[in-house]
Amino acid sequence: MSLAAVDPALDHFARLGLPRRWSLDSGALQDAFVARAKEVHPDKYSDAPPNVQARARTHSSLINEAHHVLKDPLRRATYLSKLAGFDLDGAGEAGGAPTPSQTFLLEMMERRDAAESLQNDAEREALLDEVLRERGVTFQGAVAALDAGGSAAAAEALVVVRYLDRFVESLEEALDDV
Amino acid sequence: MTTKGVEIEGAGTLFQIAEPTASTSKRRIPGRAIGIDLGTTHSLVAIAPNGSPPKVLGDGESLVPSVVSYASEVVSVGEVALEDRAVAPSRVLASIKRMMGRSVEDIDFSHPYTLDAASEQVVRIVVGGDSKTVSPVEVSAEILRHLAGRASAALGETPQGAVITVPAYFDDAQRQATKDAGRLAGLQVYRLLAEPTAAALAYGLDKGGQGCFAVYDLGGGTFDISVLRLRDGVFQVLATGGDSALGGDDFDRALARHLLEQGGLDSPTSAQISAAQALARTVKEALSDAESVHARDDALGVAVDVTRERLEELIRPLVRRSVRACRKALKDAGVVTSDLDGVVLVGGSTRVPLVAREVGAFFGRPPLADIDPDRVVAMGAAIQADILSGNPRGDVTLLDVVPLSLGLETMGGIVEKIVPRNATIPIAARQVFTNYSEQQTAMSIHVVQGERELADDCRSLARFELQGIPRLPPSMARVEVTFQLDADALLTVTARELMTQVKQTVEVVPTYGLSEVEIEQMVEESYDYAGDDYAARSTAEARVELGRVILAVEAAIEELTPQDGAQAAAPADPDVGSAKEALVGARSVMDTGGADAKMLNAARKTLESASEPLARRRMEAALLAGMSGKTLSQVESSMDEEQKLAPRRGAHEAETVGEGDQHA
Repeated sequence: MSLAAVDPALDHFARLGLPRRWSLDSGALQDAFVARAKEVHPDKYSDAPPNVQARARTHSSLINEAHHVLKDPLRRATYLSKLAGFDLDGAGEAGGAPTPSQTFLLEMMERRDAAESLQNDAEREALLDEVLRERGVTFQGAVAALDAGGSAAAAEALVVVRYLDRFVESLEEALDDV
Repeated sequence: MTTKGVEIEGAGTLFQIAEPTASTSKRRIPGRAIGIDLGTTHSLVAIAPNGSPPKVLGDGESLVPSVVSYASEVVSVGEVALEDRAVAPSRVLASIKRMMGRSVEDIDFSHPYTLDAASEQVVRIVVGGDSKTVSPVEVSAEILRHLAGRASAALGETPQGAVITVPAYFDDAQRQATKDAGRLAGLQVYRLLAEPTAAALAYGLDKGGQGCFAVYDLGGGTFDISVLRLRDGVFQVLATGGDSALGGDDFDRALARHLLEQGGLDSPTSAQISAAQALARTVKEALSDAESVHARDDALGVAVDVTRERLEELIRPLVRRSVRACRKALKDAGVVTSDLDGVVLVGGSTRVPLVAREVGAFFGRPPLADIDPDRVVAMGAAIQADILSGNPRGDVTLLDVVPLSLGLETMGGIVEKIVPRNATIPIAARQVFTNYSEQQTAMSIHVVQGERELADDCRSLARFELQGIPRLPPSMARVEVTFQLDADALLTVTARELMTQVKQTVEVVPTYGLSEVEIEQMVEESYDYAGDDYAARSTAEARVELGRVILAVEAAIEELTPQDGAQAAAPADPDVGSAKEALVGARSVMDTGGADAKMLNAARKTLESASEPLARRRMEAALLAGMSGKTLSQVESSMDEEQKLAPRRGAHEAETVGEGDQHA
C-alpha cells in the first residue's frame, strides 16, 4: 500500500482540509478527522515495510494532534494566534506573548487578594460567576478579532483569558477545599 | 519504554534514543493470529481466522486460571498449577498481573510470596530453595505460552502473531511488561489492545453498532471505563478512565475480612487469609443468585450465614469508587449520560448484582451483557488479531487513547505535561531543550506518567541524559526531543540536534521494568543476572542525579543573589540560607567514595526539599523575567506579589501537544 510523504509545512487546518479560521463546524471537523485518521492509521500498514509503517505513525500522530488542538475552542484560538506570529507560550522575545499592562497586573493582584479574604462559599461562587462571565466576554472578543484578522488584539485578549482562567482555577480550588 | 544507547553524529540528523521493539520482518500470514485476554484471575485465548466469527478455545475449560506453579521441575499453568497450592503455596504464583511493570516499592498490597531483597527495581519472586527467582514478566510468559499451545492445537499450526489485551488504564511500564511477556513466550505481539475497546469491537461488529457507548469493565484485579463513538467501522475512544488496582479480588478481600472477624480470628496467618479469600470468593459467586449463603470452613473455624445485603454493604464503597471514575470519564469525553446509546458490562465481576444495579442507576438505563462478560474481551482481541494479520473485516479502524498524561519533571519536581490524557494515539510531543550556561554539556530528562502535579506523585517512566551538548552561550545549544506514543501507547524517544555538528551520546534508562538488553538475554534463555552490575548502575545513576540537583541549586542561589555590589547591603535571604546549608551536606555525600544509591538518593531528596522554595521562586520569576527582560533578582525585588501567578514556563521552551490551557 502506498502512502504519501509527510509534509511538515502543513498547519493543523490544512492537514485536515479545513479553512484556517476560528469559527469551525464541529461536525465537519469530526468528519475530516475520522476520514483522514482511517486512511493513515498504522493498522492499515501492519504488513508494510518499516519505513512505510513509520510514515503511517507520523501521519497519524500529526492528524491526531491537529484534531486535539482544533477541537478545543481555546486551544484553537491560541493556535491561530501562534500562526499569526503571537506565540503565547513563546519566550518574551519578538513574537512572544504580549505583556499585559501594569494596571491590569495590579488589578489582578488586588482581585486575587480580595478573593482570598472572602468569608463564605456564596461570596466565592458569586465571584466565580462574575469572573466566568468576564472570561466569556473576553474570549468572544478574542475570537471575533481572530476571524477579523486582528491578531495583535486577539493575542492581548487571550493573555487576559489565561490570567482569568488561572483566577477561576484558584477560586474553584478554594471552593473544593471547604 | 525500551532502551538503547546510541552515538549521535551530525547536525540536524535524527538520532534514536530508544525505539520500539523492532518487529521481525516476517511477512504476516492472514488467519494465523490469536487474541489473548491475559487476566488477573484467569486468561483466555480466542481465534477468528479469515473473517470468521470469534471462537474462544478450550471447550468447557476456556477460562485458564492465571496461576503458574514452580513447585516441581516442570513449570505448570492453570488448573494443574492450582493443585500444587496446598503443598507449596509460596511457589504457586497467582494474580501476577498486579505486579506487572511495578517496582518493589509499589507492591504495597499483601501477597504470600517472598520477594528477592536484592532486586531494587524489577520485582523478582523467590520460587525455589536454591533461591531461583522469576519476574512477573516471566510468569506471564508462561501463561501466554500455555494459551498459545492451546491455540496451536486448534489451528493445527503454530500461531504467528497475537493481540494481547491490557486494562485501558495500564501505564507505559505495565504495557511494556505485557509486551515483553509476549515476546518471551515466542509470540509476535501485533498489538496491545485495551480491554474495553476489545469488548466494544466484539459488540459493535456483532450488532452493526452506530452511536455512543460506555464500556464498564470490572475484572478480577482491574477496573476500566471507556466511552466510545462508533460510526462506519471506526471505533473512536473518546475517553478512558479507571483504576488498575480495583477488581473482584477486592470484593473477596473485603468479605474475607468480615468472615475472619466473624470466626473470631483477630490475627490470622497468611495461610488463613488465603483460605478465607478462597471461601469469600465462593460465597460471593453464590450470592449472585442466592439471597443468603452459609459460609463454612472447618479448618478455619468459620461457620456463618452471609446475606447478599451484607455483602453489598461490604463492597458498596468499592463499587462507588468505580462509579466516580465513570463520572470523570464522561466529563473527559464531553458527553452526558443521555448522549449514550448503550452501556456494556464486561468482566466477571459485573455478575455481582450490586454492580449492575449501581451502573444502571448511574447511566440511567439497564446495562447490556448479551455477550458472556468473561469471554467478550478475548473475542474482540481475536477479531483485531485477524485484522492485523491481513484480513480487513469490512474496514474496521480503532482509534484508541493514552489513559494517563505524559510529562517531564522540571525544576522543583513539578511536572510539565507534554501529552494530555485521552489524546488519540499515536501521538507525538516535541520539546526544545536549551542550555543554562556555557559550562553545561549535559541535561537530565525525567519522563513521568500521571495526573499529579509533582513528579514524585506520578509514575516514573524513564530518566535519560542528553550528553555532549556543545559549549555555547546560554540558550544557544538547542536539542529537540520528540516523545512518541505508538498505537500500543508505548513511549519512544528520539532527539534532533539543531545547532551544531557535535557528537552526542544518549542513554535511556527505564525506571522500572526490564531493559531491552535484559529482555534479549531472557529471550536467549540466559537468565543469569549480574546483580553487581545492577547495583553499580543504580549508584551511577543516583550520583548523576545528585550532581544535577547540586548544580541546579547552585545556579538558583547565584541567580537570586543581588548583583551590582548591593550584596553587602541586602538582608540575608532565608531560603538561600537553608539551601546553602543543605548544599554542604549534599556535597559531602557526593565526595564519600563508598556512597551507595540509597545514600545518594537520600541526600538528593534532602537537598531537593531544602531548595524547593528557591526552585519555585525561580520558576515563577522566569515568566516575568521573560516579559520584562530584567534579571531574576530584579524581578523578585520589584514584583514580589506576582509570584502568586502560576508559572507558565520551566527552564526550557516547549512545543507540546495542545496549545495553551486545558480550560475551555
